[in-house]
Amino acid sequence: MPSMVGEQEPVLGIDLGTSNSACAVVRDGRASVVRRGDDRIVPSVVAAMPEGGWLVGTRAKRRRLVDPKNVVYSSKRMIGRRFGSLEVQQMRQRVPYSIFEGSNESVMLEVGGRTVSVVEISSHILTYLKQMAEEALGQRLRKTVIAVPANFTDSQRSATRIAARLAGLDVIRVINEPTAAALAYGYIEDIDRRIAVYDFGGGTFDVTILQITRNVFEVLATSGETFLGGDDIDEVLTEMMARRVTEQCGWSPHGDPIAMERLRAFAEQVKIQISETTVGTAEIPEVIPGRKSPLHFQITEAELRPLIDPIIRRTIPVCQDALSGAGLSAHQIDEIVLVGGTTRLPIVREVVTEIFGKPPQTSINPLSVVAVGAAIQGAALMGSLAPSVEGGSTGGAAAVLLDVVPRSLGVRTVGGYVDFLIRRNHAIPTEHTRLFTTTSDRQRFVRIQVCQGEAETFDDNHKLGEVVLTDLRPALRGEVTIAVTFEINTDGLLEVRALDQDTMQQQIATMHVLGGMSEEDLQRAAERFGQGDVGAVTFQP
Amino acid sequence: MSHVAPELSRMYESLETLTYYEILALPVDCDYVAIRDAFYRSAQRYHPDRFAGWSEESARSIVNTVYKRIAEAYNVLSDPMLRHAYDDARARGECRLSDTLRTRRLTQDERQISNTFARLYMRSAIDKLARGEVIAAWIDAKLGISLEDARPFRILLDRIERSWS
Repeated sequence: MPSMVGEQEPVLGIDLGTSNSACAVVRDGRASVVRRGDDRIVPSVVAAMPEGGWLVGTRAKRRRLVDPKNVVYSSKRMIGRRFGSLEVQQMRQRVPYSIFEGSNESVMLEVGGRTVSVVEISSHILTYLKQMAEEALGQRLRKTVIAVPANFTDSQRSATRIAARLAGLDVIRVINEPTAAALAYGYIEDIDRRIAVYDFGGGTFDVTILQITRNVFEVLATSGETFLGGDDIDEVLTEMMARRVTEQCGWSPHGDPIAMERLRAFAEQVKIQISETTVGTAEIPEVIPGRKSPLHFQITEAELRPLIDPIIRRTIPVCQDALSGAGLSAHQIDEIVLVGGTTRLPIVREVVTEIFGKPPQTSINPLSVVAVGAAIQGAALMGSLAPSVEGGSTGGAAAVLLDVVPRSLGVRTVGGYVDFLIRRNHAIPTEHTRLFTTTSDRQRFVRIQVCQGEAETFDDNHKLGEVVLTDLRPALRGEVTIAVTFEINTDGLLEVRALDQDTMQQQIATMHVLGGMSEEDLQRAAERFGQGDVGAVTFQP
Repeated sequence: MSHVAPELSRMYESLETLTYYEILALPVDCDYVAIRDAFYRSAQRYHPDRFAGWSEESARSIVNTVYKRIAEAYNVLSDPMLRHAYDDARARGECRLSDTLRTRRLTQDERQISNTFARLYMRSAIDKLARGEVIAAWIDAKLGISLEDARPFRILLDRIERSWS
């Protein structure tokens, strides 16, 4: 029987999603999603108001219809990334708000005449979630377990932690989203199972294969596509609606960004209706305010199917890739867990059934399942779910999350190749050391560039940062040896150390993370957030 | 968790004199499945998450150090090549495999295999072949190729089968 440890402050479980966020807590041994009124899901949208304030959530999302340039959405795609990365450049093409390069290759945004970092945007959302939960529970909350995608790199995990810290939250654990989803379903009994977590969100698709053996969770493989999600379905519907407007009113809304935004907002509603019934309708009195252009739009599930089928089918090869990475075939999967709003569409569930040969689990809302799992893990960590220990048993319904390195870690070598120190899927925590020598005579310093990814060439991977080791003894090339150590702790955070073995002086250089915030930037952000104490936030991921 | 604590500090104190087998409570001739099971057992008992409520810095450091060694033991023993290197080191009286040896590079063959488990079979097959266990190596290569039809498996199988005829 679960026993509550009285007086204990609940741990907030947070799902900070690309499109939507949610939070949950465990109280009296039961997990529940935090709500404000009828709202349980908070759009991950932050709007800069002309008078200087910030709006978060549904109200911010509505601002997209009137002031798209000053509304930030999908910022999770850019967290912990360098400005020059492909994802950030793709975002610049896709979003109406301004994205530019800050110091240290970081990503900065300009909205409402203010310059903010991506971390601060996440922080606004986290602050909103925290306040919403504090209001709902009538007590202060400080501790959180925050979920991140299984394939998040080290810099993305660090940046998420910093965002939480700025929001006044103490992150007791960063957990993988698919693991959280599986925890929500309570797969922690003594039955060994293999679970596929099919996460089809607003903008991204991920599939993760988990193995649960005696309460130990292990990520076997993860695969994903960064630009595939519900947004693509909204796009198809918006395009249909725009064509309908052209037919009915004789003019095309394509050139009008605000009209297109309005159609997109209605398209999303139509999609949500179709997820629950078989027909979706939108009654738009005026597509462009002030112009007589009413639109009556109706579509049935059967009509939508052939249009979105190609989008949904793009998830099939991703699932096959994850299965292959795990060394399993589809029939060896015991359960399929759905995450993300798009999985509410019947056609998605049919495709999932087709892929795995069995229907998915549907009893928990796919929009809040991750937050619930994070809250459950938070409670387990704090002991409020742990059964009283009797006799000599190790006792505890708490799951042990046995994470692996999501992507290989290596250093740049001569010729632009990568020498991998830690291979993907290695159990963590772990520590690896490799020796390197100088490559030219009288070399006084070495620059150790660190990347994460699977490509053989350095530039094709995600560059994390670099370590510079100076004051080497002037010697012939190859005479000075440097030991490079990569250490990954239980949270999956990396520490890189370089040791000059020649002088045997513990000259340890710590990694300078690219795309992170500089100390000064962080301090300024902390002041804006009224969090004076940021001394504990470090940049060493 | 208090009943685990004395066990934990005992383990912490003798950490430098325990072999990987002793840390995971395994016989030296155990197979891969036993290693995996032992690791799961230890993880359940000693994973730092089990002690998240401990706020004292020194206690946390003990937990982390012990668990890191458990993971190291698993990472070495579950890799056939590393395990072999470790058994040699143990014969010389060492308890751990040195950190540079633990960080081995993937071989040319392994790099051509993307499936994690197929790669494990490749390692195992090569290792067994080196020890003259030809049939066992052939079985591993067959299992590996069933997961991923990679060129190194075909070459290896061809080599083994030719040696028979």
